[in-house]
Amino acid sequence: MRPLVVAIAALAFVAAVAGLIYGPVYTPLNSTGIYRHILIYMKLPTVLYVAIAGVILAASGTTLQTLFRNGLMDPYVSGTAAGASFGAVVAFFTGAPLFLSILAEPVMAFVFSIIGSLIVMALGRKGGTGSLLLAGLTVDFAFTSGLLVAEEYIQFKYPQLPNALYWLFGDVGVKTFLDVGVGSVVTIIFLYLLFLRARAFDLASMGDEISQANGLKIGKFRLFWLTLTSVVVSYLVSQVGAIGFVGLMSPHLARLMGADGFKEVLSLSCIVGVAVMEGANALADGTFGFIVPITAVTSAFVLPIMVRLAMGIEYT
Amino acid sequence: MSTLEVRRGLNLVLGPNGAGKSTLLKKLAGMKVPDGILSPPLSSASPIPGATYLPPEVPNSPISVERFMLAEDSWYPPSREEVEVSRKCLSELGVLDLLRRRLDTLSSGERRLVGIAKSMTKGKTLLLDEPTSNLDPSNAFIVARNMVELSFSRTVVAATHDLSILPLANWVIMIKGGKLMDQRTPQEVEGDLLTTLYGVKFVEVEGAGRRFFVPSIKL
Repeated sequence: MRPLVVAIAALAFVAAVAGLIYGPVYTPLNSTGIYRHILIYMKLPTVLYVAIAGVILAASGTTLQTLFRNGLMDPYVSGTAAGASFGAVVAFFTGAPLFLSILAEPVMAFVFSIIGSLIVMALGRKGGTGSLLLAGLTVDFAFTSGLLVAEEYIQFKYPQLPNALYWLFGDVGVKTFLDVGVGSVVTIIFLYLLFLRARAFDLASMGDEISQANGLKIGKFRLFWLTLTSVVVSYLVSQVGAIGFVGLMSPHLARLMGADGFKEVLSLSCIVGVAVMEGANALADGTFGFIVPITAVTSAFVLPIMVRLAMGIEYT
Repeated sequence: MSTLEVRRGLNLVLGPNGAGKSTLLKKLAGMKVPDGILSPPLSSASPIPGATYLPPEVPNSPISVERFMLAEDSWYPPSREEVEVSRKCLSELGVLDLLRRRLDTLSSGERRLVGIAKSMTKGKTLLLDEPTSNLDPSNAFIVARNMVELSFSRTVVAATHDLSILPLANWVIMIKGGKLMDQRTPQEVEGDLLTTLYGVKFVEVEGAGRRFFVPSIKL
């Protein structure tokens, strides 16, 4: 397992360096003048933020998959991300002045990410794996169609705002060192709490009856972590839009590599998440000569895993 | 009817499907159960301290036996003592060699034993729900033999439909429709009692020096 971990970490590093050098503006590491400024103050914080996004997505994917005992869960499937995107756009329909709407955006994103997650949980709890997935898709469709309509209306009402379709497909844009600072704090707190409760997550992964029999109040536990995950995911969505499938694939790859139990799966899937996000960002941000939505790249990455799952291949 | 009695050794809870056997075990474990399933005196049965409920199926989660044994509602890493206790319980059931195996690679019988070992880490009383269901005769025998051996040092309460265990038990509790129908030693159990309990005719057969009960087959 260890050489594989080192290889993935190296891959993440190479992809991050590629992300620094290539992109809309070519900036080799020995750039000078304005190019050096772009490299240090625009590309470096952005690449760092991409790593943060990878960790948050992988950690929330691991959390949701464990809580729901369902390998298909990630913030994209659970309705959390779709709700957050929708909420962020709905903030512009409150009738409040534009600057207030912009301030309300993250709050609305959070509120709707919780609503989305709760609807999925309520619809899909009883019917098992397939049911939860269907519920997630349903909520995703509903929020996405609402979002598309709202987006057209916003373009009509506030032509000065940039096209907000990136809410749907994810766009890291350009990040500052302040963004990196805030993102790091959010990530560190989230990971710290998750690691503290690793053994309880192991219990939760054994199902409701065994959890309760061993003294874990599984209902409260699930609600608490679903809420906290929603807070973190809606923060991330407010920064980079909804980036799909990183949360789904990272824990899978971690388990494929032999990670055992919540602590190991979480650690390894965070490393995988960073590698996937850095790779996707390098590819999305100009490698093809133009910028593509990052979810287009991550969903291409996830295809082999989905094919495995569709064919019912277990990892043993 | 007098109050529910749980004796030292192996207690069997018998009763048709939907009689409330699982609910009774959960109640004895101190877990929350819905109202209205059990009626007095079962509804007022008090929890047994340190008793742990084990559901019939131990899920085949992608997690090793080692991690499962140490899974706990805890904020701290496992202590050395917890690690030792978990290994001791596994070796008592002869499944310590499964320590590094993942639950989803084990057979149902092995998973059942690991589940029982997990319950053993919790306390002196084991509440086992259908411990031999869905197991082939050889695995069912292994689980049953372990239950009997455990019952020398612990209290075991097993809800079961497996009447072949009956002669091995110390005490038999019969419940029907949430009510305590009867409780007695297995030596005092008669075919007529089981006929009343299950609604099919039972006859007594002798074998290996023990009395067994089988449904009387008339097609």
